[in-house]
Amino acid sequence: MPASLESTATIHRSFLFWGGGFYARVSAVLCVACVVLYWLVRPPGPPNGGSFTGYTLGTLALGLVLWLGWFGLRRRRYGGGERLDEVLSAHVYLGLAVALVALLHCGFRVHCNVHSLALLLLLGVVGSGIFGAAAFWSIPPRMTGNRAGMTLGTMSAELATIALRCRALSLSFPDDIVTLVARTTSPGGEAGRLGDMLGGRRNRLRQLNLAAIAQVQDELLRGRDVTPAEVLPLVQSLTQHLTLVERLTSDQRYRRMLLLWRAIHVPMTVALLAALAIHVLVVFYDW
Amino acid sequence: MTFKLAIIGSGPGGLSAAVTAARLGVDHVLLERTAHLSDTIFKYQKRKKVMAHPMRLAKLGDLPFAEGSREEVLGGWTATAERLGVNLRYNAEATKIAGQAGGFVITLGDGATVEAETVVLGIGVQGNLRRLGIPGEDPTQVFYQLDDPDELKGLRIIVVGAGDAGLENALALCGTNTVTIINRQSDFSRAKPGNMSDAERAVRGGQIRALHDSNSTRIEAGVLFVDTPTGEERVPFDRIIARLGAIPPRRFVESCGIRFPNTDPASVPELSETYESNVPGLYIVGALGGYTLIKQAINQGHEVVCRIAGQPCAPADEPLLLQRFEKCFPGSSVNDVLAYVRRTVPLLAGLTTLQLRDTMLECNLHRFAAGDLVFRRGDYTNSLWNVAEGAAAVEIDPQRPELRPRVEAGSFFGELGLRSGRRRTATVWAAEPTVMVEISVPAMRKLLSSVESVGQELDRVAVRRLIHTTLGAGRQIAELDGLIAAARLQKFKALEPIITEGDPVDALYILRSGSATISRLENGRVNVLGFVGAGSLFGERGFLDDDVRRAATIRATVASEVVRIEGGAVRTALALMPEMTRIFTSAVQSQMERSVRATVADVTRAAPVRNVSAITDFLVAKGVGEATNVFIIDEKICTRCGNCESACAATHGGISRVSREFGASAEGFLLPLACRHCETPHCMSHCPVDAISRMPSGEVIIDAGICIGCKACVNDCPYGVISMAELGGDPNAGTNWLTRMMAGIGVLPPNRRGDGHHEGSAKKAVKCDLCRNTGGVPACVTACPTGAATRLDPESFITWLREGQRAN
Repeated sequence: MPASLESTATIHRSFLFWGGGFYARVSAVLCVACVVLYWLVRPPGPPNGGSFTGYTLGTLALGLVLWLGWFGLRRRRYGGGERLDEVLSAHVYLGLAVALVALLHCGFRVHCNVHSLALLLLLGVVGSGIFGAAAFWSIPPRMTGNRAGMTLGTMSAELATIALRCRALSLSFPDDIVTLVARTTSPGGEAGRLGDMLGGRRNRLRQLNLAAIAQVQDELLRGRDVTPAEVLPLVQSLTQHLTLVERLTSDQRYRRMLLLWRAIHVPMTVALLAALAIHVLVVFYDW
Repeated sequence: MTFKLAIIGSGPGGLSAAVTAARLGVDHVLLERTAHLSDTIFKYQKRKKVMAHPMRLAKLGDLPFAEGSREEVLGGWTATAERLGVNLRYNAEATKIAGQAGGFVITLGDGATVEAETVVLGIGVQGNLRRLGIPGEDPTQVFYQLDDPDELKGLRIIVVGAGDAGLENALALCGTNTVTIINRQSDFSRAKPGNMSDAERAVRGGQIRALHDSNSTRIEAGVLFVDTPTGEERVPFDRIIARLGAIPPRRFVESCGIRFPNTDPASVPELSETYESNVPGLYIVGALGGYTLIKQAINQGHEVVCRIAGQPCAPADEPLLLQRFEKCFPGSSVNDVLAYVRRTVPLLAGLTTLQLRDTMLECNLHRFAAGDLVFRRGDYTNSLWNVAEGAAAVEIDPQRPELRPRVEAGSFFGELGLRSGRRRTATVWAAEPTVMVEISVPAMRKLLSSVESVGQELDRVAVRRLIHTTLGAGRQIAELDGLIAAARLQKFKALEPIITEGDPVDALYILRSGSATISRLENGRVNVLGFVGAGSLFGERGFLDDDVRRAATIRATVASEVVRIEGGAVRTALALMPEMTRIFTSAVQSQMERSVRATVADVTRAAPVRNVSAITDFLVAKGVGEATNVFIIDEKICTRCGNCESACAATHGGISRVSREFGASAEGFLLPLACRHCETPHCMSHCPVDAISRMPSGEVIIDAGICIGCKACVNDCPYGVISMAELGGDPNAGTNWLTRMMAGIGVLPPNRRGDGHHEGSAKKAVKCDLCRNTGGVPACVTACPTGAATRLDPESFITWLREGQRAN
């Protein structure tokens, strides 16, 4: 056997608990140290980035931002032997710390200039990062539960089968029901992408499906020319259809949430780096 | 008038004899029962391809023979017979041969007689086909011959028998029918290499379905019941074609005074080196003597007549063998060397002369001086070595120079490579001036499938060695005779119990191959406690406790083979050898520790846990029981980012060896499609160039430099983890730093090449290699950002499940 990577006590442990929360502790210690520094070493006037504390914290924050940004490159370096879950664990906890350090650095003062822009961008990056970490924590178990042991492939295939069954069963019903069922089970979307992303399509599909079920049940209640034996299979199939569509759309939503936060986190980091560069240059230019 | 020579049967043997007789001017007559030449070949299916094996063997005589269709071959023979003026008599069936050398009297079917000084019998084994012999057999459904494959279309056909005839029939029919082959052996190595590879290709392509290691048991209402390693299968059919070989026409042959060595209906008559039977002047050539290849019969017919004519010629393989033997035995005759090999190599003692000559064509003879190296630990070779004279010394552990057992003359070593393809586990050199016979892996495979005594001898030695290694504890092997005598090999199918909880303790077991789970019924649930790997002892606990009942069930997870040692002999041995008790106790102790820890964890755990038995069942069903290192993803942590696959591709030239999409999942764990580095790797079983081997640290590797892309391993792997790819491209082709940074398109998905198809480059087999060339730490695991991916042995995983999992 090649040397085991770890004892079995640590396999399948989430990155948030890597090393038993080692980096959380590191980050906490750092934060406490910075707060202590901020409290003890005060400038004559209001706290600002130009004081000794300010410069110290500023340098620390800059160093942290650069190290955190380096993660973007590290995550694509494969085969190096370093474990990405450890690196991510450090990234997440130190990313929380950098927000505090930056705020302490500027003394919690915000103005309308490029310096505060850098701060706001940093907070934006950290905020989106928190969203990402939360997503990584909570979504996978929900996604797995939602999939219930099936793969996307089997769910899609199953959906196609159920859709066909619904349509076949609906044929003995009045035309308006046939049309409704066909619309419900047709795979094509009706709205644009934005609506999809905001959940519009999902709701619309659900409404359509529920309407179809309701209308079919109605047929029986109104005493029309149908028997329970005809209605029940169609209602069951439509319900199965609804459940599966819900599963699929939930799965889609989960996958998007796991990816899209990076569409803010990464570009904002680039903007942050630019703003920081200007901020540092301006500071030194002003000397 | 008395002929000098009467030849009975115009098959290749008899016809060749007649042609040589005509050429040499020997007074002869060729008697043929039917109205055409070579009835057996005449009855081949139309347009059948007749092969000229063995290729390297020369063909003697004037009868033309090259690979061609049945029609071409027969046409050539008829023309030659006419051209050379063979004295041919059709419709002349020999019903009796009386007399002796110098004066044989052959009685024909119409009452006429023919007299000759010598007789060559080349009647083959036609007409005595082996039958299926199972209940429900019906002549309208079961056939023993196939005349024209084109006449059968759109039928469900079962071919029973995987010799050349069976495979050729199956291949001819599979284009327009649904064909299933039932094969008693475990592969197609009984047939000629050409048929074997054609059939394997057809099985891989889905045109033929093959059931190996299977026997037909009965027929009921259009369904054939077959006993397979995974249970009984029902195969519905429209027609069965049984090609089970043929038996010599014993009564007729015995009536001529010819003796058979025993009453086994499949045995062949005793023949001298010159193909003369016990009746002087009566020669037997071809299939009747057990030599089933056409070229062999042609050569024999020629050789016999040359001798009769007073111009003896050397056998066709003589120059080839002489060349092989020359280095070790300069100046010795081939026969002398063969006699020497027969005397000194017990493994080959049960072979007929022809089998021995055939085998020796693929063996190497070595003469070593004392201290010469045979092979080193870690070498890739896997041939079998026999010590003919002298002795070899084995260094098992470089740290323990005092442990240097010897392999004496008459023994063999190096057989582990046949089963699991591990690199040499020890260094061996000659302890004194030694002669050794090295048998190659392909030759061993052929021997194992055609000569029963070879497999039996290997089994016998394996049992002795397993017992010595597991129970010997430093004793000489002779002291373990009691255990060895009480031991026998037993095979189990997948999921069959070897030991059942509650049964009496009556035997000790060693797992020779395969793998098994240890489980107990607790609170109505089956709890898997661990795995038994190949080479391990089990069932020992019952001999230590005073309980006389088994405390757990041991169940095979895949087809497995065990050495079973009778309980009485075990108890005797325990009394005589106290150190054996210590071996048992330590094995039991570690098992009990695991069991106690697991029980404590069960009791103290508060949070709801995953269904351990469901997960274990799932893993075992997916074959993880025989894995040594398996890739498992915890789907409750996995964010489906695909970094594992990207990392694998990035570290392996752009070709990922892992697929999550095609994996299976249950209870929140995903088993992606990835190599498990099985204990007994299936991929190794038929690699024709031995490109697959196992490293000392356990990973199974395909050497791309040796691989020829034949896909035998792809077909053999039951888990579908091997794929084919062109190697040596640039994984980053089609991307730049910006695209890679922003969208992470740094690595192309598996098997899609950004830089186009390479002209002239062949596809090779690729699979997970545990990142052997990139640091030995699996990239798929280190690249997982959330810690969801892990690669470990199944036993540790089960332990984690039972004890250490967090309720994440």
